[in-house]
Amino acid sequence: MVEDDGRQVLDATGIDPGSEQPRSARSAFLGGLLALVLVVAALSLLYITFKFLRDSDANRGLIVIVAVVVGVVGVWVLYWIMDLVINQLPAGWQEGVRPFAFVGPAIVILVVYLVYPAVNTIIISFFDATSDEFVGLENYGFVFTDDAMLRSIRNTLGWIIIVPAVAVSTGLVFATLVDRLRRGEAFAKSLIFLPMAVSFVGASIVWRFIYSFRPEGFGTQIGLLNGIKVGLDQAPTAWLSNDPWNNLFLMVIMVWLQTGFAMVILSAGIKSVPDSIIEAARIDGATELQIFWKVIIPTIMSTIVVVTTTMVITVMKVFDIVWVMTSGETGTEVIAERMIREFFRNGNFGRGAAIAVILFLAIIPIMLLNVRRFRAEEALR
Amino acid sequence: MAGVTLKGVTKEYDNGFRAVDDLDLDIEDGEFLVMVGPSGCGKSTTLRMIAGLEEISEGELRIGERLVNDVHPKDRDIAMVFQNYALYPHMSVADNIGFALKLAKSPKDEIAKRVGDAARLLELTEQLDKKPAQLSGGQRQRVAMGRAIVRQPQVFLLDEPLSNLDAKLRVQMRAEITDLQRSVGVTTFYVTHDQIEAMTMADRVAVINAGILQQVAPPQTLFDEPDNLFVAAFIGSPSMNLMEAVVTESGGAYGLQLGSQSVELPASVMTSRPALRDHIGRTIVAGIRPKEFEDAAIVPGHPAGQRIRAKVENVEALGYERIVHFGLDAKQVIQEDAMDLKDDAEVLQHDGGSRIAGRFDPASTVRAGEDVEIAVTSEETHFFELETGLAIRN
Repeated sequence: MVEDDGRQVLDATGIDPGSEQPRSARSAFLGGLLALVLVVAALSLLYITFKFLRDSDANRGLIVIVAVVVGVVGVWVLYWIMDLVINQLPAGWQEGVRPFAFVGPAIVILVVYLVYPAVNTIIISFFDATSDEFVGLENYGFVFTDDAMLRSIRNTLGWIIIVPAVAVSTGLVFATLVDRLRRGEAFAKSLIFLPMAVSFVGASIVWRFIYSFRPEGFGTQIGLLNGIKVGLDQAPTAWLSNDPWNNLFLMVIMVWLQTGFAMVILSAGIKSVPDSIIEAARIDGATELQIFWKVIIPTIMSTIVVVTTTMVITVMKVFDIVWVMTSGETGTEVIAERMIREFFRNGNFGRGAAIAVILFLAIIPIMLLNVRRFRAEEALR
Repeated sequence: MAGVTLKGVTKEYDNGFRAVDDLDLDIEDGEFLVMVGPSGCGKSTTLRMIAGLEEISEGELRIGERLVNDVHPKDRDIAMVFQNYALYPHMSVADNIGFALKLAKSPKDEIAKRVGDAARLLELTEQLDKKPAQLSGGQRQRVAMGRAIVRQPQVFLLDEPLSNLDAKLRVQMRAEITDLQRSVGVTTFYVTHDQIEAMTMADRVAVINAGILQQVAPPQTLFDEPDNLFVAAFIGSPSMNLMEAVVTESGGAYGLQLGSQSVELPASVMTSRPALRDHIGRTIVAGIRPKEFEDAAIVPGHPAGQRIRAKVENVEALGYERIVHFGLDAKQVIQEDAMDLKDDAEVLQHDGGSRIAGRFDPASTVRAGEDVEIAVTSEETHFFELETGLAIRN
């Protein structure tokens, strides 16, 4: 080992190519193999548990406990093993690879549950009802030619414009007025916020009773509005079949649900405007109305934009209200309702997917607006 | 332009707390008056009452001849600079400065001209298109000033405008604001807790404590003739040394008994303060400024009677002077509310004695632990009643 000079020098530096390196390579190989086995073992254990839980007829409580234990401990073990594997890698690689090991599972889940379905939706939107035959753009042709579809696009546009506009402005007025209350602010706010706690379906059922209509000879009017009308000696109105106004009546439900949300966020925005700015404006000669329009509104503009865009996105996806109230009959179709109908009622996957893709594309600009506005605000901070 | 007159102005909150109590103050036309006092003393409340942001509970407030108690802020013809500047974050510098003019419906070219003038005066011309968030602290301060001067108001109100700036910028802005005030000549009411700001900027200083006005006087008068213990302790740095003492008389010669030691008082002390004669033999408070103490070795000619002996506890060599702390066995009188504010406040209660600060010549060689002889210029001693804290003069 120390026969020639070269080797001796290497020896002196502590790197002995003769014995040290092969041993470390061997141990690294063994370690890696072991780690790989462990990973496979852990994954199969998780899979077996999953199968067992899915197919088991055992006591539900037991299943839940097993799921929680195996899930939590399993994930922990998985991370631990992956860390172990990384420690077997060459030193130069370790820190480069480690972040991916920890972010990896999240990315996998994201891909499986978000990216894959999105891509798959796009693909099946080019196939026929049963996803067997490629039909090109036919489904998209349907989206933009079918009468009900066109009505749903028209209606959704109406929803997007009217609901956020009304809900945000009402919320803003409430927030401003409530802010000036000496006491009872919390109570007033809770009252307006209360509908937020009701699900869309629940709210729809409540409002069915408000809009309820019975043709003559089919019993007394039990609906609130028609009750009042009949009480005033007027003929009852079939609120929900009165195209196009029935769309407005459905939007009222959404406004009722969403105003509280707008109010709470905007109220926080208004409260964050420093008193001194308002006092400065007062001294500068602004009236209270001018302070509202020229100082408060511009200062909380970013909040208003965020609330509005969030609401636009919610409204774009509205389905439950229409489904429960009118089933999309009498000219009240909306895009999301059409999507569900094509997918699950008509079993036409191609068309359903095409509508979903259109809805998705329509939401992107709003998201971009939100993000850009947010970045501009951050820069001003 | 106009002065501001406060007569018996009082601010009482719903819970009965009197933030400002029966305040009489006359701010003359074109005057720079600084109100100074510890936090919570009522100075900002006073300013906010003049601005119209706070209701006046009692008393009269006049701007010029006009009674403005119930006049809306915008109709009082005042401009205000806030502590945090209160700039409108969404408006450019130009819009911030011109906002009041725009609300007053001034013609566009007039607004542009006046904003331009103000910007030139404040060296903000380059920044006119920027938003406040893009400016430095000093620039924001100037925008706030610009917003005030562009309206050409009767009165400027400034609420601690420099407290958010760093020390260096504060000194610079101090000079800028006084220069600006002199050049526009607008009556100015300026509120601060910093006595150095008050002393360096004001034509007259109003000292306020616990809602009660203590003294209004030009800075030098405030320093030379404080009306009471609070003002005496508050103005000047290091603070005036205050301790219990007795004025003695024996055969026409007067002396000041400080604990176990005695210092001669020249006859001029008694003639210039006739009231002091009534307090002979009684315990009073003697106030001696640090500058009246000197290392006796530096001033060999100092009268032998005006010397004391003390043990040096600490020496701070500042180059141009030495702050020497030494102990005396006279009981120290502490004005806590005044001391709270001062950076150099050293409220060290000696067991019954006083810790005295003296400003010695840098040539002095005294060192901590030494027992030294100290010359006292007793002629400049201030005297206060022990019970009331009021100055004993005439």
